[in-house]
Amino acid sequence: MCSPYMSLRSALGLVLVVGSCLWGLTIYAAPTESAVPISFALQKPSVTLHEPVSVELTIENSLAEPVTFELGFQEKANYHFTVTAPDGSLVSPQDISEGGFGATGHVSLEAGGKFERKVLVNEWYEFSKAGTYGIRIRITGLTLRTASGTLLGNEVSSQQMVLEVEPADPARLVEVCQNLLESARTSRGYAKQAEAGLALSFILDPVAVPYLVKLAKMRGLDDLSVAGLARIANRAGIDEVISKFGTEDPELEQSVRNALDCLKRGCGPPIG
Amino acid sequence: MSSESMPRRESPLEAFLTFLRATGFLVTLGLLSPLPAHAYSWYSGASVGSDGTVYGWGVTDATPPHGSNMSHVAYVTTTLTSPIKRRQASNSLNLQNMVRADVSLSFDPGDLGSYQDYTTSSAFCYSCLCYFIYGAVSQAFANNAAYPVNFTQSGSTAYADGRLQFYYTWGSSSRNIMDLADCVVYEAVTYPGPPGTFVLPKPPWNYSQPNPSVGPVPKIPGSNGTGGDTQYPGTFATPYGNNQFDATQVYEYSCPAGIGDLATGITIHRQVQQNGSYYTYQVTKSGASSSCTLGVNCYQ
Repeated sequence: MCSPYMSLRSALGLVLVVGSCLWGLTIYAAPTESAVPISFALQKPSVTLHEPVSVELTIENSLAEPVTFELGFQEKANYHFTVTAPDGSLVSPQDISEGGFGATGHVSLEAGGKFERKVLVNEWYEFSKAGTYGIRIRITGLTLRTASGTLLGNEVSSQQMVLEVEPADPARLVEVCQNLLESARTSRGYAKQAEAGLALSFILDPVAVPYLVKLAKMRGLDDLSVAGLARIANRAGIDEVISKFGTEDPELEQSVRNALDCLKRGCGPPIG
Repeated sequence: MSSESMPRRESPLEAFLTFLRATGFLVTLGLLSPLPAHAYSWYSGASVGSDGTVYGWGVTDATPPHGSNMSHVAYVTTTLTSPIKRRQASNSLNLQNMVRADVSLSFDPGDLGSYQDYTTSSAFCYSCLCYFIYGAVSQAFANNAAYPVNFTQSGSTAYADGRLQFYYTWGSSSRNIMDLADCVVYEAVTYPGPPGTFVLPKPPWNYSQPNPSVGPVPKIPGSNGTGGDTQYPGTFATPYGNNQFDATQVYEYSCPAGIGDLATGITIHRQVQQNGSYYTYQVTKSGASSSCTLGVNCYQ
């Protein structure tokens, strides 16, 4: 016999199912009891000014079959951020451009497998002042699907993550730069090396220059170095950047000047 | 106790040996001095075959100068050593002026990296009864570490907003894509004009790009095995006008074993042409094209 409690539970279940369909199969990341849980967490809830800010994305496949999902061009184009600035204003930074050649962002995850990525929020938003920020991340076009074809979800959103940005601490920033350079040098595989190199390249402070010069010597990471140096030069001036090279490198200097010229002339994202 | 210094007298045997050495030295000098330009050589080589086999060789060339009546014998020993210390060695067997020894190690997916060929060379001269090359060492290296192969266009899509998208796949020379974890794959697009900044022809464009444009940043890990490439229209500004330009695209890789081209000389042609009261953008690449109408449906 059906009790009123069971009827209520069934009705709630029906509402959830219908709601999911109407909302485009959105998965809310926390809390989740999905067979493919997706979680977001700030790598460090407190940083000093100009330190990289990363969100750790984890997708676990507890199913007995593989799943696939889409993160978009360069595994980034499907991310959308909303940032609450210290003054309470809401900002929606521009999405990553998809032009030119890049990773497809199609990911396959074996049964029992775990996918982990550090998402560098600085690529979307510059935390330019000390204070308390709120960060929310949404992944659209996820197309999380089992190998047998069941669609598990199209979209996932994080909870609001609170980030404390402390005032600048040059000594701490030097330590961060050293650690990132070391990680770029010693990590196994290009993906991990590039993850560290990318974070280093988004430290918009002249303190990072000598480390970026060293990064330029590493195979496959030279373009990250040039982009980072040009961003700093755009802020602090090219002479300030060159003076901190620590060694003469006319080729790198020319590359940075070219990249800076492009930045100043408003070069758009790659058109391929 | 006293000591006395006495002049030392050579024994007859010592005197004879001294005479022999001096004679031998003079004969050798006489034989060699008229031929200063003639050079003997010894060297090693190593290469990787298309099936992944690594080959090594060592050569000793002690061929006497043409017209000389000298008689030489060359010797060579060469050893090929793999990263996990598999070895094959070989030495010369025949008495001749020039010898070569060949070695090889078959492909082993668990034994990738730098292979060393180490050769020692010697050569004996019957005129001077001496080795005029003795234990000379030469080395060569070949790296069979994995690199991307079979770069293939796997599909293309022309969007109504003028975007033209291509998909590419590649494999590993080691047959295991995960061996490309230390490799990167990227493109370089060269636009007309000098290196620096390329300003797209104005009118109708209102856009700039680095020249050459190398990307993505960061590059694609080789172990991905796939990549997508989208040609975008760029942005336009009124008043529009007819214009066109070509860019040249290459796809490349960089691995611990070296860098190389995956596809070269691809032309990306973009043009804007008046079509009645509208202007139409069209992009063409690798036989595919996409178009849109400026100010109406082009991707911005």
